[in-house]
Amino acid sequence: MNSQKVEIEALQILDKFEDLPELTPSADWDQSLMRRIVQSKQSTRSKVYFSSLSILVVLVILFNAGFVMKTVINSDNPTASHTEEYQILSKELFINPIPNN
Amino acid sequence: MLEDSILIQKLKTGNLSAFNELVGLYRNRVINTCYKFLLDRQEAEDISQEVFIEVYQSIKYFRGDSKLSTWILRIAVSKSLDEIKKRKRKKRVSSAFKKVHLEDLANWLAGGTTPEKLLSGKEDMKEIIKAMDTLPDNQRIAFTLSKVEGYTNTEIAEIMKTTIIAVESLIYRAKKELIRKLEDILKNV
Repeated sequence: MNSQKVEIEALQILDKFEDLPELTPSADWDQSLMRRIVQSKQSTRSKVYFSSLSILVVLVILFNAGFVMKTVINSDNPTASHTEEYQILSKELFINPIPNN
Repeated sequence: MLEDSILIQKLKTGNLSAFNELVGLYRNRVINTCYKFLLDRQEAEDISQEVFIEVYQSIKYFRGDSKLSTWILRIAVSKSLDEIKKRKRKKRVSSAFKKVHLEDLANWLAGGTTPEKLLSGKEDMKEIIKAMDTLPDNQRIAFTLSKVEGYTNTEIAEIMKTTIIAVESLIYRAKKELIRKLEDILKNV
């Protein structure tokens, strides 16, 4: 293709773009927009619901953890020794705590 | 017809009839703006709806620093550019123009243009898209908006937050660059 022909063709393509006809929205454009608006409202509502629920769950977990920590720290009972623990367990399981040799 | 300030106040309260009035006022302009950027009817309709959804959701944050129309058209430009970026990422440019829409087929069945002709028309658009994709965003915006009916350079300058002289220069440089790119593309065909 010679350069003059190329230049003319390039200008023609550009003219085609410039002369694109005005677009008129399709018949169901308005209805479709309204449907999407309603959907977006619902999704916003459910997002708010789920984020509030997540915050609530986190708060409950933190409250429980704090409660457990507080109980552990303020506990007056000394930790039972392993021997005592074994004895309690053996009693509960009805077994002999001292191995038979 | 409601004044902008009254319309904005009503929109901020979630008034649907005010929203319908706003859609009626700007629908054609928004769709055609998106269409000139995307050059695809279905995408233009879809993105223009997204523009109005964004307007509906964000009107409460609109402070009135610019005109309502400028704000809406800025959203339209930004959504269209986002879509182009998504399209580039998905490398859908080539396949996007192979589609023949139902409306085009109906037109053909009614004795209008054949699908082949429609496709060849879109092939030309493919060349311009290729050339457009090489332009910097500001040149692309200025040039494209200048080709949408109803935009003045003053309005384009407001949308782009720049001066009229800058807009004129951007349009001039974009056109020059587009011709050069189109020539390159045609030489390689």
